Amino acid sequence: MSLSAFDNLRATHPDRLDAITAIERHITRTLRRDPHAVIDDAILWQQIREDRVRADLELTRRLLVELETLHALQRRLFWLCPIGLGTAFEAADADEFPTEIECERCGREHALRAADVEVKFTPSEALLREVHGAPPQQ
Amino acid sequence: MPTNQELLNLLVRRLAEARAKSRLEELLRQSRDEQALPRRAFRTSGTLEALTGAVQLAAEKGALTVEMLARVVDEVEENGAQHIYLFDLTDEGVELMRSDSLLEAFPDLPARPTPAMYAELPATTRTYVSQRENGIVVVKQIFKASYWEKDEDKSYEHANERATVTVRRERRAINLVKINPGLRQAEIRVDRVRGQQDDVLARDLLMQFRESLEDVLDIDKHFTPTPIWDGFRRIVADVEGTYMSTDSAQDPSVVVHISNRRESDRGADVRTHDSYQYDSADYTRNSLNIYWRKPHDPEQKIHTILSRVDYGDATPYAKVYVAARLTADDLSHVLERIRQSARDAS
Repeated sequence: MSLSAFDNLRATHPDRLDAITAIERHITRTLRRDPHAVIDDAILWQQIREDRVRADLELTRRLLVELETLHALQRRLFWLCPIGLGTAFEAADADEFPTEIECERCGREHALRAADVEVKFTPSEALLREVHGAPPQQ
Repeated sequence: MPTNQELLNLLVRRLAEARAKSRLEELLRQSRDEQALPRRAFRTSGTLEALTGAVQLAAEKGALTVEMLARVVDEVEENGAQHIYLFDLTDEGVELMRSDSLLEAFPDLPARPTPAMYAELPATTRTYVSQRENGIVVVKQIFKASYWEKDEDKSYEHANERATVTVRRERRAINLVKINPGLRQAEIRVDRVRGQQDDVLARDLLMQFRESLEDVLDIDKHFTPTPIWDGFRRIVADVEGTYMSTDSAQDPSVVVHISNRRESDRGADVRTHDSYQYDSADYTRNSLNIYWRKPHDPEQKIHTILSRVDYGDATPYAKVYVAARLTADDLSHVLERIRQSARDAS
């Protein structure tokens, strides 16, 4: 069973069926394991290259952005602990970031620096419902 | 002599500073319900200004007193936003508590709150003693703490020049020693003062505090640090009762760090990840970043950072850092679970 947002994507990009299906398979597998997981363009790109699917990082990102437009993904900004202990704060928009934060990961206070912020995606509720309703993909 | 109104306003400001507006709202609701007053009698939510007015109204109607409000301020200031050092009483410590020397060494906490006790910046350091339920003795110090901090507004980075300006900040702070002779337990709670875990400041404040008490209380003689690190593995193994968003451990060959990718407690517990294998006896930790699930509401979690800190004494100290303000019951519950984990391991 395929996911509706990916069906739409396949209809729009009939020349990219391999990449779209590979991304769908990896996102589904990831979210079945952990519904709170981050959808990371770099990881997906690596995964689909392992599948011998021809796609560059730019295409991977473009498809993820389109999945956002189709309400399957949500863009999320992650403010990483500069000491390297994971995400200190996350938000849908940069305006939500305070200028300083007390980091629960290391206990210290960090000032906001663009270098510590990365933009990734999280699944929408609709996508999660579909993933958990659908039978496992091979 | 301050008026009731001035004292009430002072206490409300202390709660606001401690970001404990919800506790004030809770007190107002309780006071109104206990007096069976109509809902319109006074507000129980709103802005700080609205709540200050509500407190005055509640006092006029006899639903709320300065003492009631002071009790809430005390609970807020004494529980959380602290570095908590855990100890067990030595035989000498038990002996000390059998005598009245600690109780006689400091004045009792005044029965009626005074403006000096709740001043924004206390003019002098005041140390009081009080005897509480179950024979617990608390020595409480109210003082003005200071620390240096970078001034972001005055610091700058230009093309050919950069400067960092640090300024001295001052703020009200509370330290306390809590001794439970019945259980042979003690805690030193040091105000975190700053909005972050500043270990150097914590150490300095601890040393100043213990020095100020040394005429009657010798920490090295009367207390011995509770070896909470013995319980770290048991805490890691308690997947049901705790939550971990990050873990750092080491074996003889490698140091490992594992963190989930979501903020706070939003992501998956790292211990549920396929690659997690750091709960065996091969791995050791100097600190543990852990959330404690509340027993009656497991979705609610209390965050702590436990660590073994070496201040150059013979035995390292056992420190529990708690950033949030908690209720006395919640904090006692967490500290007891930490102690229990250490006891179970020994």
